[in-house]
Amino acid sequence: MVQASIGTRVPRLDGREKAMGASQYLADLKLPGMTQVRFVKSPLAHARIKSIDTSAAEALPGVAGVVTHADVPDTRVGEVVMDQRLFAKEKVRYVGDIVAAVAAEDLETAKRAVELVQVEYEELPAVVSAEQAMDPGTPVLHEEYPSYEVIPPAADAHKMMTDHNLCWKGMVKKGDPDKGFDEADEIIEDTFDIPAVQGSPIETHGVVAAPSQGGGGVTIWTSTQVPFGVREVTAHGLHIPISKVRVIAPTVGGGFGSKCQVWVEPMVAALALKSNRPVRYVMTREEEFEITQPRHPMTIHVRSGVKNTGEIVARQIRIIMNTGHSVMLAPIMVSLVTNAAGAPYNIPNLLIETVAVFTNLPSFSLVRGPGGPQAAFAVESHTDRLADVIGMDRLEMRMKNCVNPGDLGPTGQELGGVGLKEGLQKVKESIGWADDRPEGRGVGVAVGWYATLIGMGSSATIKMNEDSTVSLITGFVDHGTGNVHGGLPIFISNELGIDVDKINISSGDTETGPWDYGTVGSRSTYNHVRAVGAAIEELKREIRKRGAGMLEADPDEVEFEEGKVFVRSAPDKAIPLGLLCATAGKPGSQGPMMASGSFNGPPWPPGPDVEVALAIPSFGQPAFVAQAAEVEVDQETGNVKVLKIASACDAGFAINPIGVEGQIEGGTIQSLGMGLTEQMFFDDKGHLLNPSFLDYKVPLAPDIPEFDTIVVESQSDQGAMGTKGIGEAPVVATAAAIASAVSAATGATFDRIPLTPEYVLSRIEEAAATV
Amino acid sequence: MVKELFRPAGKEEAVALLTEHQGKAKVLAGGTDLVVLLRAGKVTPEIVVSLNRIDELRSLSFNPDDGLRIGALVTHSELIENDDVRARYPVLVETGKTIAGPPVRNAASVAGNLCHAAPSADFAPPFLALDASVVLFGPGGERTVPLNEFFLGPNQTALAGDEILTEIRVPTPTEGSGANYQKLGIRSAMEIAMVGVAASMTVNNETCSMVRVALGAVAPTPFLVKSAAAAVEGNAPSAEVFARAGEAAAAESKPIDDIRASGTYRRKMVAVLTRRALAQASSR
Amino acid sequence: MKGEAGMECTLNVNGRTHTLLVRPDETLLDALRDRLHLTGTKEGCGEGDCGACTLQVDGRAVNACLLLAADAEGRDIRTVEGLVQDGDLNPVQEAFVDSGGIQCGFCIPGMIMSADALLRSNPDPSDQEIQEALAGNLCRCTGYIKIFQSVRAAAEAMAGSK
Repeated sequence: MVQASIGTRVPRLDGREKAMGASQYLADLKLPGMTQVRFVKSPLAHARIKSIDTSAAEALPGVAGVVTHADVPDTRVGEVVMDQRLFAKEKVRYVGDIVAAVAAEDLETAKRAVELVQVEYEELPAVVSAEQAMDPGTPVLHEEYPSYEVIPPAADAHKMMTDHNLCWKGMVKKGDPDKGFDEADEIIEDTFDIPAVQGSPIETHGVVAAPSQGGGGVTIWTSTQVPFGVREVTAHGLHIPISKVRVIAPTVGGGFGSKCQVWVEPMVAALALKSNRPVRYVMTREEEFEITQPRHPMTIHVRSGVKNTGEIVARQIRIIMNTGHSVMLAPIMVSLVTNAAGAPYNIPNLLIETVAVFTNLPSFSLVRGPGGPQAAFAVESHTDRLADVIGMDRLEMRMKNCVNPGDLGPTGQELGGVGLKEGLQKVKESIGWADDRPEGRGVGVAVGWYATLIGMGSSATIKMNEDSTVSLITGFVDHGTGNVHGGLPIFISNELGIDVDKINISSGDTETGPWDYGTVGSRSTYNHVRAVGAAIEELKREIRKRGAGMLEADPDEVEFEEGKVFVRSAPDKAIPLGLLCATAGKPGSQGPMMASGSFNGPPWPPGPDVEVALAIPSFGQPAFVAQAAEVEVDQETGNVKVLKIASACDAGFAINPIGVEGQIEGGTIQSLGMGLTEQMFFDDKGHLLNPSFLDYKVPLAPDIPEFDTIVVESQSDQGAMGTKGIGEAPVVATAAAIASAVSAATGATFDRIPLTPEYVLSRIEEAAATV
Repeated sequence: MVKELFRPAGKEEAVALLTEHQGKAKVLAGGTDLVVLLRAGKVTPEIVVSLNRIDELRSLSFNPDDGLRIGALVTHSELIENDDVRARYPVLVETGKTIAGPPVRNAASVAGNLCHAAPSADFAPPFLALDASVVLFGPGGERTVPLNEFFLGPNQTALAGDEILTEIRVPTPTEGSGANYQKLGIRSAMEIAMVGVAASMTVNNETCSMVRVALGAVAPTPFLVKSAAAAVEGNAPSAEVFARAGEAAAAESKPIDDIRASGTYRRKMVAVLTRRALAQASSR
Repeated sequence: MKGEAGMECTLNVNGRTHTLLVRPDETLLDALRDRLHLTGTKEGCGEGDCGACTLQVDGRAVNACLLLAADAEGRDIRTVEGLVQDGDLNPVQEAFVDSGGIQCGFCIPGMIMSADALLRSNPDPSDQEIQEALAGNLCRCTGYIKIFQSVRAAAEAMAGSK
């Protein structure tokens, strides 16, 4: 492998060991004396716990320990609002709520022990829909919600969450919507429903925990995107000093946001501490579906005023999120979906209000592009209707109203690089927008954005080794996204003039790696490049300093490239960089050179003349997507076949095009799943009816249409080298584009996804009946 | 919990084991259904009898006199790839390709698809339409059961607790015959049929004869729809005739509502798919 | 994990013979991972729905979670570890690395085993044949696009080296 320059296609550094089956994922870890963990889970969605008897389980031979709320501090944990018991105490609030954990010598014994734990419940009515939750006649899920502890920045807002079963709310208002509607020629109003869907990483969640040697602490290996978050919540929940909790993310097999919540780790750690043994918990696929945090189901009302010329002059959006039983990251989620729903139009008069309500379903939380696909399906389907009503081409409607560089986003932030219209133009050409098509075929387009999460820090250490290799040591996690193994090696190689295969990476360990907020919110490349860049600047100074000493020159005269250091006037007398670190036989040698750096995005406050009531009021520059689909619809069965997708994403700048394309392709296909096949079915008692890959249908290889991956590079004025975070934007608009294409092919309109054959046929028949 | 796994080398030995452990044993061939059920605790046999060492059950043969004979261990993939099957029973190849994905098809036995007796078993409708029968072997020897008498209910068959299915027999197709399977699912693979319809017929001198229509996933068992076949029998193939047969099939289907589809939709699709299957079968 | 093991069985894995004790209902997947420490074969669902545990038995791709270990006696079992010769990746593995077919990597051993089985029986597959051959292997990261490209690249590399 050679020295890589920025923008070249370099395979990810960990690809080789992954292809060999040699990478160590969580389930591959084995510790001596390790026991197996199973949870005792509530079969009811809502119930009071009258008693818990673990004696029979504890007496079973082979059981190493049983833990309930009685074994952990009487406290609540959370990342914003402290609302979660580690183990359910007073009540259970969803099917699967964890009441106890059992560790045993083997899985079979653990399963038997789980059956021996006696829990007596008093069943309460289950609240499963948002509509039910907001009805004052239904039970309150969190009776003591106002008294829960809250992190200080959110405390004032939390005091306002007093409505029945209200978890969180937020809003933005720009211009004068009432006045805008008065100016409109047509006013259209629609309501859309989007079901819960799952991130569904192929690796399920898992945790291994072991008591620290010497006692008093715990080491946790976990399949997580946020090791430092795990450390913090575990320390808080178990009343252990944070420095005594070490969290290590091994190779992580996908997350899509589902691994950025912290809840099982402290429970498993409690069991390790109580049994004083290493313990291992690996979720079954069924549990992955039942107890992890899926994407929010939402009902979205959209009302717009449009001029006959196509200009959208006013828009009002109300989003109701079913947030499940717990707060988790709902305050952040409300901010994200509110911002996403304002995308990506320049509408002078805009009001977006979002509420999240508690129900007795699993906690819904952040899944790749949180709120983005839901909002885009609603806003884009509605925008199609606007175009149809005034007789304008649907794509032209976007061209007319989409944001341009310098426009203001919904929170009044000025947009820098905007590669949206370029993307639209490219997908228009790729999909053959204006081509004649046979009956039953149609094309659709949808646009959207997703903003980088800013305001949380990242740090990294760079080490130059004796053999002229470089080690990156950091708390970053790369759960497949390529932020660490795909993009950073090119950057480091380019900056230090060393080959990519001379770079070693040690990541995801809270003890050895400097702090990072986590691989979430499309923030990683944006932040990590800056943090690593700062460390590299420091390292370069040290190289020059040591090089000057060894080469007997002025530091300003010292240069280095291709792994060698030399004096500018005498490049022929270059020595390997590693010699600066060599220790053997060198009295006074300082060993490897190390340098650290950090970055935290500058605050980028909301603009003037907007009202913003959000937990996160400011976002990084969004990445834009324009996605188009061509479909063929079987008019008798309603079956939709996607023939082609063109997916354009404005990445600002692509450091490693392989990685950027991979994000676009993977995100787009997840959205295709949302559009056509994926949904979680809950019954009215809160039971999930399809907890398997057989009935929860993620797209398969033969479902993939012809695909055109289009990278647009608008050069963000914010991210390092013009980059934008693009982990999430590609997932935003494809479901909407497919719905639009099916609408074009059939003449029907759609107010929910997925477009199952049965639903499509019913809408075709309704459309035919109204003609 | 399974106490023992037996791997007998002959079918007599297998049957002896089943007789000895009657009611406490399960038979294993490809394993793609049984192993999942075992793991989930949905079946709890004391012993499992694997047929995988009984080599005679691997045979797959065709000759014009006996027709097609599919041994109990023949996998979906082996059936799909067999030259005789490809040449004379293309409907079985088309059907097989709609089932699960290659790793499952490489292990799953065709016989197991029938013995598991899911209402949606994909192979059931085409075998019914091809007038297949199954050979059951027990302590008293062999008996041959027409497939349309084999399915008794969801996961229930005419197999006695001490019997194994040793062979599927399919008659040689007559001159001018054709068959087709129509499956409605959501994805392109790994799909349980929402509705499955198979049709077969012989067309000579513009007249349809020996018409058979079989439905899957719309009743407790896969079944032959006589009224649909009768609507076509003796007529010239036409869209109108096939549509009438489709309506007849829909009327006889008894689909349920579940998360995969509503009963109403399924019934409507029976009409559409029956019409399509008949049209395809007639044009072969 | 392990549990009580009562049955002796002899497995031929990656060209080596192993005699081990297993539970009668123990899957080949569990035996390989827990007893032979061949953890390259992954468990994604345990129900035959995801393909993460795909390996080759007698040259065909199958789900290790659907086979009983003791019933796999006498068969030629190959896992992803068995594709590596003297530390070198085989052409399929190589192509997945170079073409960007790998992101999180969890589905990749199974995906590679299916792709390798395809190319052994069909060295020049069409796009549709590639898609159908991988129908039992879920990937959630790549959208499959670069996986298809990887298989094509592997086919070309294998054709070129002959």
